[in-house]
Amino acid sequence: MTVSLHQDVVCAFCGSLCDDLEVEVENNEIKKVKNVCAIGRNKIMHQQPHNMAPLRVNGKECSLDDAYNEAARILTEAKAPIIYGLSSTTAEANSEAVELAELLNAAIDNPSSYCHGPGVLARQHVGMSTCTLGEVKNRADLIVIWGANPMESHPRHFNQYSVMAKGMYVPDGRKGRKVVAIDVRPTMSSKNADIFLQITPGSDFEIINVLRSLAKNLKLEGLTDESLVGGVPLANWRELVEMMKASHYGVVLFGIGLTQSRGKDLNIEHILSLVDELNRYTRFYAIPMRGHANVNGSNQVLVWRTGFPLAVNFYRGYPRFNPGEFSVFDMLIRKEVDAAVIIATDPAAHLPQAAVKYLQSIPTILIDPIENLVTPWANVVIPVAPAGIGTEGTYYRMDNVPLRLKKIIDFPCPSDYEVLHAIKERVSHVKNS
Amino acid sequence: MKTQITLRLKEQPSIPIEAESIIPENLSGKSLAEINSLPLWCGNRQEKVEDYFTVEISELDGDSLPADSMPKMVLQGNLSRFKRLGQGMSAGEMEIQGSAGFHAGALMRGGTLVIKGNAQDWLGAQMEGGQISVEGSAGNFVGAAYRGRTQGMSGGTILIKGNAGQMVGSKMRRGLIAVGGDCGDVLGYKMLAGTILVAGRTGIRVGANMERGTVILLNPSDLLPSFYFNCCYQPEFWRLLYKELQSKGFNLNQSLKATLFKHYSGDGNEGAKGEVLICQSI
Repeated sequence: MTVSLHQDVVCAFCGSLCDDLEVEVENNEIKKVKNVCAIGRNKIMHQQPHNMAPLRVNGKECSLDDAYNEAARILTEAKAPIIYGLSSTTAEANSEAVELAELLNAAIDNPSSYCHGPGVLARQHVGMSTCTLGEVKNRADLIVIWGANPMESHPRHFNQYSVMAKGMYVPDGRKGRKVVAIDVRPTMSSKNADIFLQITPGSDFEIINVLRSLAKNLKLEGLTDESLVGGVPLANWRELVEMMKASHYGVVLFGIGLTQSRGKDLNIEHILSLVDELNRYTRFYAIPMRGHANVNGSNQVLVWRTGFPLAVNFYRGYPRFNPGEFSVFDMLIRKEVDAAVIIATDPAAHLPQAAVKYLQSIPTILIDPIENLVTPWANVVIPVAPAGIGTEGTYYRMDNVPLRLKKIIDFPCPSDYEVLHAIKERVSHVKNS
Repeated sequence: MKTQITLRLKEQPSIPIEAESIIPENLSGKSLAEINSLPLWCGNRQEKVEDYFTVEISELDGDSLPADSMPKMVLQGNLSRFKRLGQGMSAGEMEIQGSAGFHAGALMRGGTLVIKGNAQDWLGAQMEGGQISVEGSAGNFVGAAYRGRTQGMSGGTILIKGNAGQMVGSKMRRGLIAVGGDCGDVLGYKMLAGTILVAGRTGIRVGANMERGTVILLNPSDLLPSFYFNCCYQPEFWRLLYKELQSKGFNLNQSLKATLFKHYSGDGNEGAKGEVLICQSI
């Protein structure tokens, strides 16, 4: 019996990428995980060699070679293929997926086109004053959590990096920080805040508009201190702006509550402009609370390889970018693709029914470690070694810091990178012959 | 005598077609066979005009038309799955007797594009000149800037008889957009200059973050508190604009000719040099 203890393991569940996990392995099986949240533990404990998805082509067991060949056949015959997912796999696999997309003249997209994508688009227009989570931990004395609930979505964020963490210039941790939560309902996170501002759903843009005016001491037509802006009196917003200006180091942590409420990318353009303008008075930064562990890495790699962060299309042989036209959700709803590679995500769980229904009607290749809602009907199912457990690679944390994931145990199957590489080889063989 | 080239849709594509090759200057002087073999993109495959259209070249009556002028182009059928129709055209006349897909008339530099049915998103996006008339409704981003670009429409005219979607004239730099019906949220977002008129109702956040330019609303609308009321007046240019629209077939109620407008300046957050005019007498 061989028992080994792995230290400083990076968790590949959420965008926080906690990098202090301890994993105990016995006979190539993970027995215990320490310094981890409940979600991270379940994810790691579940992704073990005996829980792998089956290797199948059209419902029948087959060899890896058969699966690769069938995938290459489907993709080379397709007029409008799409490669979608990539938010929970390595930067290396992402890069290989871009090469496959280019070779196939396919579309390529990741889940950010319907979660934090608006934030990515906003950054293209107004830029983003941002910092690392290490700086938040060591310096931030004001944290504004807007449309996010880290206590439940990123359970260790507060303790590791933000609200509760003790840092170099914030030695008292929670006591040394002011915390403001802005959300449409009370959450586990808002309970930890000094001030909770419950706002009317969909009013974020109007609120930020007023905050920007208040920060610049501009007049506000028709508003008095008692007037409600987003369901909260103007006086409270004035107080928040004064608090922001008086802070030494402020950070806005924004979530999907802001990126996906009415106005989407414009909300983010507005808040990033506010953060920029606050830098005339003090240091102020913004960090998006990215969800999937490497959804940021997926944007990073797409930008590196194609120049665009999401919704990239190679149909004409060169990369084009147009969210709304080439994003996965819209293309499926409008029935504009005729084959799909789904990798490291579960569209059947995330996308609306109409999109999933259409996806079910076209040839689909699924590359994922475990069974998900797509497995039962995908034409080709290829199980892979999970990143950070069965294979190493690079992930990007929500603050753009790349972290190297380790291989902890052996899996009887290839990695995402190897599968994409093999399919790519076969596609180029078909194209050349 | 002037010629007319008619393209009649014979088969609906299963996947949207990119058809920016179908513009007057590209078809002008070409034989039937040459037009038939012009490329269209269907997904990642290059196909031909003849795969989807029956092409006819006919002669138009009327002596007043010079023989060497550009042929009139007529497209017939439901072309809502044909993208980029009239994209980048710089001269001539193109009429779509049906609906058009994304990017119709985008990047257009001159000539006239008439769409008898509906248009979809990015109608006239980043257009530089010419005129687009839509009998039906249009989608989002009319005359807007593409993602990552700093300027939208920089010249020309877009007239929509029906409704329009969100972000009409976003980052518009110059030119005129007139919407006969209603329009969606954030009309004229981050507008830099130019004129937008909406005869119907508007969504929320009109003119948000506009730097300069003019938004004219014929129906009352709530503005953001960063728009400041200045005065009630009758702008001199309104009569000229009214006449211009009338001459282009965009008819407005006679009573509007001498109407008063409430003048607001905004967006305060961006310097308050833009103006929103709200009609007083409707």
